[in-house]
Amino acid sequence: MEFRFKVDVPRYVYPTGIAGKKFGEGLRAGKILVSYCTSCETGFMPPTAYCPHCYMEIKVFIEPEKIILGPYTTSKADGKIYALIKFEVRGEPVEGGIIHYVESEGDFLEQGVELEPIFKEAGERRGVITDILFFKPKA
Amino acid sequence: MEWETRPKNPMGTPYKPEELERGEVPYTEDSLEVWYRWSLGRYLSKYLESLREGRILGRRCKSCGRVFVPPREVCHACFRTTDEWVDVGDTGRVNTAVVSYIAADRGRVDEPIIIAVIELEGASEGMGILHKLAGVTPEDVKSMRVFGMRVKAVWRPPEERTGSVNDILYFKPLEEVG
Amino acid sequence: MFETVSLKNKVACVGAGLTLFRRRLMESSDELMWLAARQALEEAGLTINDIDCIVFGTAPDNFDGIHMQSEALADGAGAYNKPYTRVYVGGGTGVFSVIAGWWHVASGLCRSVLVIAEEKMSHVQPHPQYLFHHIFDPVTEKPLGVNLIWIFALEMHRYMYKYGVKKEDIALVSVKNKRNALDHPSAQVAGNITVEDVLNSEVLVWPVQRLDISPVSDGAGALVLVNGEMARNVTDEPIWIDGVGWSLDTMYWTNRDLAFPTYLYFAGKMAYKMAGIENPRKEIDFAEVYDPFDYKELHHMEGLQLARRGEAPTLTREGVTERDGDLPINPSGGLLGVGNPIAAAGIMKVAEVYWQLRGLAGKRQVKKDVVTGLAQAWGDLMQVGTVVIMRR
Repeated sequence: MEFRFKVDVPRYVYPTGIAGKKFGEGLRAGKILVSYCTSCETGFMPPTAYCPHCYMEIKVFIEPEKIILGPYTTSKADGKIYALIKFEVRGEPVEGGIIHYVESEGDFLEQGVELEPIFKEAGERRGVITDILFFKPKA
Repeated sequence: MEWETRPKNPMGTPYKPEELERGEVPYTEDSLEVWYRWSLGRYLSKYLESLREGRILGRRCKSCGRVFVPPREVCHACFRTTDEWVDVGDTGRVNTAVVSYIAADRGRVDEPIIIAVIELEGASEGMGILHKLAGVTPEDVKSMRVFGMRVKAVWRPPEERTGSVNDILYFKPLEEVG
Repeated sequence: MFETVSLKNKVACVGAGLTLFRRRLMESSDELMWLAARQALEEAGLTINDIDCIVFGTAPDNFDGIHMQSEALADGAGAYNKPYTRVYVGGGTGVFSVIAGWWHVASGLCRSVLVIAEEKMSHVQPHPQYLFHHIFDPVTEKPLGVNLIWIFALEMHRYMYKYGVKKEDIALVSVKNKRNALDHPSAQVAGNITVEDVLNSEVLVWPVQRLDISPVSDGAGALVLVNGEMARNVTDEPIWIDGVGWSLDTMYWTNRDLAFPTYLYFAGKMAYKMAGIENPRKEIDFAEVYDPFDYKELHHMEGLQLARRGEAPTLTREGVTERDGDLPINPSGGLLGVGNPIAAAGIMKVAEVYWQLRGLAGKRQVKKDVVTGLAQAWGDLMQVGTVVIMRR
């Protein structure tokens, strides 16, 4: 005898948090911000309000010097390229990264290639990760 | 001893729902819907089938004599498999009852629902099931008149039963309320 | 059972921290955990490098809305490259996470443990209560359109019937706790209300009315537990965990005696035995018992043998459970006054016992001199009792 039921929640809202709010303000201004722990001399992405290593407060939020293509793949479902986007700050790689789309228009793609973000129009940005439309190889 | 009150300066930033809707609190959103095809197991599948036939079944553990409703594999007191099926009848006594003005999603209902734990007479003492009561008023519940009342199941017409606890519409008092 | 409990180490609490408890907090789940843990570490005078192991307690993933929540929040727990465990027993988690932390140290496995409990109920729209619908048996109960408050109302009404307890007596608990909470810096719904306010509040499921219930909350709490040797290096006033107990009753709650919390009787017995307590009413100086509903404070007092069956309302009416009484109950303000972020509420209670024993509770400090305190939580489908006994 079949018995079916569902577990459902019609709507979740996820406020992005304190560090998320700073990140969002950066995105609205067309900037990407990385959090940087001055004790551990390491950057973290997505930015956090505290350092995952030493657990102390992080006060420094800065733009990365370089944005670099990490491992990437093409989805068979929608043909889009999904990539781990990596960052560099103060000459060192940032821990972590973000997952986002990459569009290449036939440009050469391989890990390590430098990228730049393409944002939505300023008026359409909401302070969340989708304010970035995609990344493309730096001109 | 220090004389500072703890917790010292607890942190946290409260916000109002309007601030979220106005965009002052950045957020992302999502929804969740997962369907399950539940494995009923031997005992509950037979329980539901018997409800469709208009009977309530329990399981007896021969070692301690307990009769369990809903029926189950393990006697929790003896930690052994139960031994035989028992038709526990469809009458019982009200152990406790309440009047609900809210539905599952916390919205208010038009008609109050009277819900009770009913100890089935054919099962062990204190072996109750959850179901609705009809033929009693909210006042009967608030005055506690309903406690200990003998009640009987009112079944859906056989052709409308689907093998569910809702094959019983509700329980109704056997004697007149008064 | 528990004739001799052989421990490698005694376990002491040396620091505690709490965030604000509010209906909606902007911090993300991991930030909230960090805020509480940071406060606990500061009080202990330690950093994350001094912590060997981490224990995290949080209730269903579905509240925060992240599947495998504990793994996602490991960074927020300071668990980077450390042994990390999550425990979950519904509302009992707040105290159970402390018990799990206790195992880590008592066994000798770790010298120090950071215990964190967190809950975010504000993510679920429009109201988190709908989620509770999914904890019921999908076959025998969910199809009836069950609302969580039904089961509390059924239990409350049975308790009232069996012992002749009036709503007025039960309302006194809500009045006392909300008033106590006025002195708690984290409190969400502290206030001066009267018995009439409670009896005139919206009826949800008779006999449960709006002011009988604790609110929905976001919040987090943390404790630092260390072994005896480390405690002596870190502080002059370690507070020892002398007894732990926990017990689970059947999920078939309709098959149980609803007038008496058997799950708590056994959990209490286990903790009392370990702590060498034979007469709880005399030997427990004060207690934080779980009070998501006002009648539960009375119910739990009786389950813990702090009052005879049916006697708790009398003790409340006579002022015995006030802060200046002989057996203060919930001097913090409890869940009714401070708030109820499901998993974190219990840890708020353990933190209160710790702070009271250290004399750091400010205006909440109970009048009598206290040596032995008890914190208790309750959860799942009305099933689990979790108890911790602490001594100065």
